[in-house]
Amino acid sequence: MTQQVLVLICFLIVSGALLLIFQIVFHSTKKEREISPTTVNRYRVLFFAMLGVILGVLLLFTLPRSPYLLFAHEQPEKIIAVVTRQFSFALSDESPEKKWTPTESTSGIVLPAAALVEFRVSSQDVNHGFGIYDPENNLVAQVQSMPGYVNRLRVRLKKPGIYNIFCLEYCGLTHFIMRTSLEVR
Amino acid sequence: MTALWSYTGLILFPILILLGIVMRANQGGVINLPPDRFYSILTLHGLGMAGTWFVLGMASCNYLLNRYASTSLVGNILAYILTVTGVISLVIATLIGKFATGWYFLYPLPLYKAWENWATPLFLVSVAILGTGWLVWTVSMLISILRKYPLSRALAWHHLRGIKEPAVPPFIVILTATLIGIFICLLTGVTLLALYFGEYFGWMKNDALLMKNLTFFFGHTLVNELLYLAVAVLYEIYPEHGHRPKFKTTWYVALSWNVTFLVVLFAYFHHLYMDFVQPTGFLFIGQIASYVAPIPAAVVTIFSVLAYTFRNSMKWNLVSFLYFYGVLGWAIGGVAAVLDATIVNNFVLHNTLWVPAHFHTYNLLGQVFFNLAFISWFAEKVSGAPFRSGLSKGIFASLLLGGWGFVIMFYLSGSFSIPRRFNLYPQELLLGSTLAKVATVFALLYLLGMILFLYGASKRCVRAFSR
Ligand code: HEM
Ligand SMILES: [Cu+2]
Repeated sequence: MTQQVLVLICFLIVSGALLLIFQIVFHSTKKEREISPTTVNRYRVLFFAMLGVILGVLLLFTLPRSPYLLFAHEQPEKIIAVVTRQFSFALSDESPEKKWTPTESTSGIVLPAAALVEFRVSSQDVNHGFGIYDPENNLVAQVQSMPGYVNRLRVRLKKPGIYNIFCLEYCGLTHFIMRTSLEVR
Repeated sequence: MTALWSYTGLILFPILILLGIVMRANQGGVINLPPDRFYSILTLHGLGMAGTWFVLGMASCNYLLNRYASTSLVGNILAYILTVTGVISLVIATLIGKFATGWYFLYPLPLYKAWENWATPLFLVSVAILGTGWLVWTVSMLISILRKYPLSRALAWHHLRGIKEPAVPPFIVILTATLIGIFICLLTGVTLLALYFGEYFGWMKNDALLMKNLTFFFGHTLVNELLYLAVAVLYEIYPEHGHRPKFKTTWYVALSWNVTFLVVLFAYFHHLYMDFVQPTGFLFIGQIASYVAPIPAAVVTIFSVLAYTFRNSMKWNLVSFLYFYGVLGWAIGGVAAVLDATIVNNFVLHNTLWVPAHFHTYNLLGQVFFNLAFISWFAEKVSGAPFRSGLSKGIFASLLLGGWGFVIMFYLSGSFSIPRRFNLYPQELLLGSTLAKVATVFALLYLLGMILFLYGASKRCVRAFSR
């Protein structure tokens, strides 16, 4: 299961719980009863503590897994320079100074499966996105491509196959056809 | 004035919905728009919606503020004139000039003109006009409040020190905090525009990362604050529908809104998670702020509404229904927002349709419900004729069903990696197209509910005027 679907399931469970609570409260209005403010405040404190703990744990658990820190202390096996401009990508295995070769449908780049790759992504004009889709068309990693800056994205692409790359930041009228691909073997 | 604002908003809203439906229909392959049309519609829809609900929130707060302090009619009228002027030039820039950058006109895209040459300056000018009008209005309302309450009292700081007197209504506390937030973000907007004009006239060159920070500080904060405006009104009107005393300011209400007001200013960093060059510390602050901001809202507002309603003999009508289930929509949208504001999740959700999913949830099914509740409350009040129960049920059912069906399609699309802002989906992601088709049908249902609402509300307003 992809991470996105997991997030969706989490979301549906919490939303379902909220819906249930709202329905219970809604139906409770048929029978009136006074409730003392102290009871309300006791529950409020309880709710606050619960929410605080849940979010706190989530925070501690997820922050260290942020993409900026991933593989930070390892040496990448491959370095791919990515340059974007309206409306194409250019990927090259060596340095960003190489001659501009727009890559329409495929970049011709082949990466060894599960190798640590660093993409150095930059833009020649406006902001673009660099979104890597696995062979099953799930988004597995992304970074923005910003003029004047180089964003370094480190990933290990495990599944062999063709990975499509789509632009994920709106960059102009034909943004939606800006794409390329690479192969993992 | 309130009636005028409401009318204007209620007429703009269905048109903007229609633009949304057109986009969804295009993504579903039902109709076929050229990309320049699609993206100028996208731009107008996004900005138009944010602007419409911002001014409706302001107008309702302005109306209710008169209960506590006298407000300036001049500020209100000036804001109206400038808003209408701004909107007209915005429509010209997008629909005729084909200006199409998306609602946040990310630097340097507006300068890479793929549209009429005049459209970019006209667009920037129209944003400046809107900003000026809103700045005037914000300042005039702040002055009205400060004439009556000193700042520390308006923000209920005495409650933080454990002093309960003098009492200030929560409406004033929330409104003051929100207006200050709006003031700060409008000033940022002015800076942003100034930098744009500087580059436009060739005096300087801007830095893309700085501009992105300014853009989202301005944009993200403004759309958050517009939600709080609607929440401030809820504190006034919802308790008129039950048999318990009105909400009172206590130390935790005071603390929560003061904290929210500060923390929300730092949450915008979550828009830059995928800009790895942004200092990592800021990005972590972004996640922390995005986690902290909803806690006071949930513990105070959502919890208070639930506690107020529980075992209370409520008068259930269109107004209270919209408020109650609007709070549910707000809460669920908040859950989706927190999930997306988690950096590990954002890595695979950023700029997918999950993003429109969450903000349409708390707008379409939260904030809009609050504002519609205010308008129906207002229409009933001025006309003395309550919405008939059959009509109310029809309106409410189609808004609820249409709205939820519509956003669920966005959530599903997001979970299956369908990108946002795609005119047409590539071969590999055709699922997005199917979901868009289904969403179109639900959106039409929502539009139907809205038209029924417009009919009911305007009939009542007309009756009030003719009396
Ligand atoms: C039934 C009503 C609505 C429909 C059918 C609708 C439809 C849409 C669609 C199809 C998009 C483009 C999604 C994409 O990126 O592919 C969109 C974007 C957007 N909508 Fe809505 N929408 C509705 C209501 C609202 C409301 C109430 C608000 C705000 C208060 C809103 C604010 C926005 C914004 C800010 C965007 C982003 C524009 C951009 O990407 O530049 N919409 N909407
Ligand atoms: Cu693009």
